[in-house]
Amino acid sequence: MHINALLNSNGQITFPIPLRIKTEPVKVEIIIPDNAIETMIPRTTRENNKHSISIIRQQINDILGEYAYERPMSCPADDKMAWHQHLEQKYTI
Amino acid sequence: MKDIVFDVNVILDVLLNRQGAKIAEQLFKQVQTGRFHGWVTACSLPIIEYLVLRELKASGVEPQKAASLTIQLMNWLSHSLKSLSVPGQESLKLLGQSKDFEDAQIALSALLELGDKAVIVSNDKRFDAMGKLTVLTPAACLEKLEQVDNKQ
Repeated sequence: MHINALLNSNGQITFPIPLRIKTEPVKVEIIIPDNAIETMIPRTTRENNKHSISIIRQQINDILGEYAYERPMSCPADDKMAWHQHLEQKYTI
Repeated sequence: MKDIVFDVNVILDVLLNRQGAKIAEQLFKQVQTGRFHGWVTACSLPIIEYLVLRELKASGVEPQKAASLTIQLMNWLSHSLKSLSVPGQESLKLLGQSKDFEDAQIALSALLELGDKAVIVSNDKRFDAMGKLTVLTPAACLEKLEQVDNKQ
């Protein structure tokens, strides 16, 4: 099957239509146009980043213990709203 | 890029393991390794503390346990980032220029203590730094750091 997809600078690939994978793993071939690539990220940087994720996450997971699961994304406006509601409750008679 | 000031939402992503936190975690790691100085403003601390506690309770954590976990997370934060104080009188002179009082306090703390080269990292694309500081998303900040690496 040939399908066009979008690759962003975070390395995430977006498919134009939802796909359900029947068997895993699926081998894919990615062809990136030469003019779309500015510079190659050095391997060492990527390796350090991978390593770093695990260290930071591990430190926090160690604190949270059984509650260390991934939570849904929240938009900054929701955080602010929750804080403002708290202030209103606290300081409004 | 020497000093990075983290906005509340980015810190919450990391502490609460919210989806999309992985890039912010990479920035935190680079702070830990001394690549640059990472900062949180003092005025952000009660907001972070409240929202972490609230989220933990909402996740079903028993209140006393949630309070204990929150303190531990705040201690972790205090070891990971340095804290910027909020200059009072000087801030008051400039705050009228901002549309958002909380953003202004973060921006002014950074500006007055670190200078205009400091970068604010926020998920909020409308973060109001009053045009005085650069505001980047965690992804854009990481990309910028990688570009610097590639040039060296």
